[in-house]
Amino acid sequence: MSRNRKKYDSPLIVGSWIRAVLLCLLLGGTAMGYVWQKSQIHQIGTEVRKKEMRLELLKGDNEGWQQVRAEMRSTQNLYDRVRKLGLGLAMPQPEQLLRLSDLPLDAKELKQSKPGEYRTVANKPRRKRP
Amino acid sequence: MILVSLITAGYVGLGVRLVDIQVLQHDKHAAHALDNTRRKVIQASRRGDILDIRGTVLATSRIAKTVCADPSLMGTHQQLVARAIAPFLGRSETELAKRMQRRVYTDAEGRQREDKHVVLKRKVLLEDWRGITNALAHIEFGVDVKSQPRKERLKYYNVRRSVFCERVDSQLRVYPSGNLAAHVTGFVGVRDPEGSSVPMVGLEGKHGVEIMLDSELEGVRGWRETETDRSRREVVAFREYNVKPRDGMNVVLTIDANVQYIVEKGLEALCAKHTPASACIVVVNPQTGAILALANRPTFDPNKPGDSSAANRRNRVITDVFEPGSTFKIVAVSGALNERVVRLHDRFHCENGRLYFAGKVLRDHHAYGELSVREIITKSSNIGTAKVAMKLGASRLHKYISELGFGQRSGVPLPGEVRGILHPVRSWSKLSISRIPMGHEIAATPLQLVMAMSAMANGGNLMRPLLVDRLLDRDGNVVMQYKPTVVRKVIHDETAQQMVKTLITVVSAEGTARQAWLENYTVAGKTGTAQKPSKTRRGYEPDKYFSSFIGFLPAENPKLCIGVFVDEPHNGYYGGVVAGPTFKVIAEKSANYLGLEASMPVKPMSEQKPRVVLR
Repeated sequence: MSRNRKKYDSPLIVGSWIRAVLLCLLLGGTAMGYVWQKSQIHQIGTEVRKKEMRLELLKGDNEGWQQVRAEMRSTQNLYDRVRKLGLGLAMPQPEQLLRLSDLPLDAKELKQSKPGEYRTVANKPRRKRP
Repeated sequence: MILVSLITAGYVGLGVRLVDIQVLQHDKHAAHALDNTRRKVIQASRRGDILDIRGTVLATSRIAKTVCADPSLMGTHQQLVARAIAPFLGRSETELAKRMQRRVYTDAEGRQREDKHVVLKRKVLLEDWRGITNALAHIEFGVDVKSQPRKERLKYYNVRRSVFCERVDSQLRVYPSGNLAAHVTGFVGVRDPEGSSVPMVGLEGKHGVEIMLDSELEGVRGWRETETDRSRREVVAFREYNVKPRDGMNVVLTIDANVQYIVEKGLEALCAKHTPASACIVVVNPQTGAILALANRPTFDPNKPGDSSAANRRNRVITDVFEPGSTFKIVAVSGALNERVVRLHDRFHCENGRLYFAGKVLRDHHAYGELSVREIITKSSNIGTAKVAMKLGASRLHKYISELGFGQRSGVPLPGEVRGILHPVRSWSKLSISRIPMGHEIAATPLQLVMAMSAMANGGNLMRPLLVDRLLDRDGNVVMQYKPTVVRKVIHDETAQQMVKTLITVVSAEGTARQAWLENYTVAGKTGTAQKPSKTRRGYEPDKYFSSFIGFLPAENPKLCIGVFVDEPHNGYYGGVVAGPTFKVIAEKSANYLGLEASMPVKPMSEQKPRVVLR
């Protein structure tokens, strides 16, 4: 009987051991997972912070370049550059302007253009030869 | 036994202390612990830009830091730290070292405290701050820091972190074009944090568009509640709230930087020639009321507003009032034409230059006989205008004056605008009907005069001055578009046309403003030369004048209305002589720049004599 009992006890003990080990593994794994997760959160947080700082620096750089561009495009600077480089640029005189007045395509009468006025004329499709 | 008792007593003592700390003093210590780790960070919003109508940046912002020092961490290394950071702060080493000396102050409770927060410089750009941190990290103490004992190493480490920046970023406002349109853009100052529960380091408009559209430009600050570790670094995982800042809107003005530049240069030349007490010019599109340029002399640099006096910062176009003189004659004559009490060819006798009226003598600068209404304006006859006004009557004259916007604010979005002076008819003296039509006994701002002239040019509509064209968000989307507004219709179209025809004759060989004549454009306008009232006695100063010319072009389809106003000029005082040439230069260049169609056929270049254009 005692043998039989031993026979019956043995699987029970092994099962308990397995359960205990599994439980330990589960607990250990959970703990490890928790720590790993926390570590990941911390790591990601650090990365986020770094990226935010980088973004801030880039924004600062961007603003700096925008300011440089604004200064270069400022009217005063452009006039100074024109003068300094001796480009001889000046406002266009009225006689240097050609004014084009587009006539609507369905305009039946082409009025005589005024002296000094240039007009565009709509291209009419050529008639096909019969 | 004694030992057991002692151990027991010790444990009991510890237990009591534990209960004291954890239960009885829980709130105090919890608050302290929270205070050590919790941080509320205010994130400044970026102030919007101010742009001209073509997108030229007139004002922009840059994020900046406020650099501070904690002298208690420096030991005796002030000179060393000062040498490292001085190039980035633009201050001398000696000054910085002196500032970083340890000092104590007495707090509100009368206790002596060490000053651990010394502001070294505000508005330090990010690249300079980066340079400072880099310089501090590589500071040389003359010893091998790593080989020092831990305590000594900590001292050197503290020296490196003794210079820090404030948690809330500030901003640096930059005006890339300097004093171009300075009176329009205005300037900013540091926001007063009085009465605020959170640290509010920010900019606040103090003048010009900066103050009038402060809330639109400022945006909305963001904030973040978070925790920090021992080294005061943020632990991102413990961020609870993170509300991003919303940047301010960009303001697009109706100002055209190129026209503004032309005006500023013209004004400079005028001031160099006539050395006036002050001068100002306004350029308006009479059809829309859009202000294309507005300039004053004396002026200031908005990048350094503190370097100039309040007088230089005053926008005289809207804050100063003058007796306008003859430019005001358009009001009485247009009113009389509109009411059909006179016609352009009606003739008035101008009493050979002297009219006795209400016990006083009214004079003309020339002895004119009979003049038509048109000639009265062309020759700028005071007596003729007074007679026209008498036919119109005091009440109707007053009605036209107020309907043309005098005695009331124009509504331009700039600070400090005044109404001018227009007395009610019941307060007029017998003389008033002869004096007011020629621009005396009344005071107006230059802007009011230009808007009244614009009404003559555009067919009789008094326009509201338009200075802001639109508001844009940071992505360039239009948030608000401002439209031209007609305040009221003052005179009929026909009357306006008659006035234009009359005003064209002013800028002719017979008129008072032949210096304002342009080769390619028909110009209409009116000169004004007013003696200045004395501040010390009754009457007028004998040799102080207010000279002006307001004109528009092309007269048949006006696109530009330009007012030139000169206070106390030297080397001449007639409006046509002082303001006329400046008008001509500005009108010619602006019309060419804007590509306005010439009023008369232009000779082809081949038929013209070659000429050198000097600019």
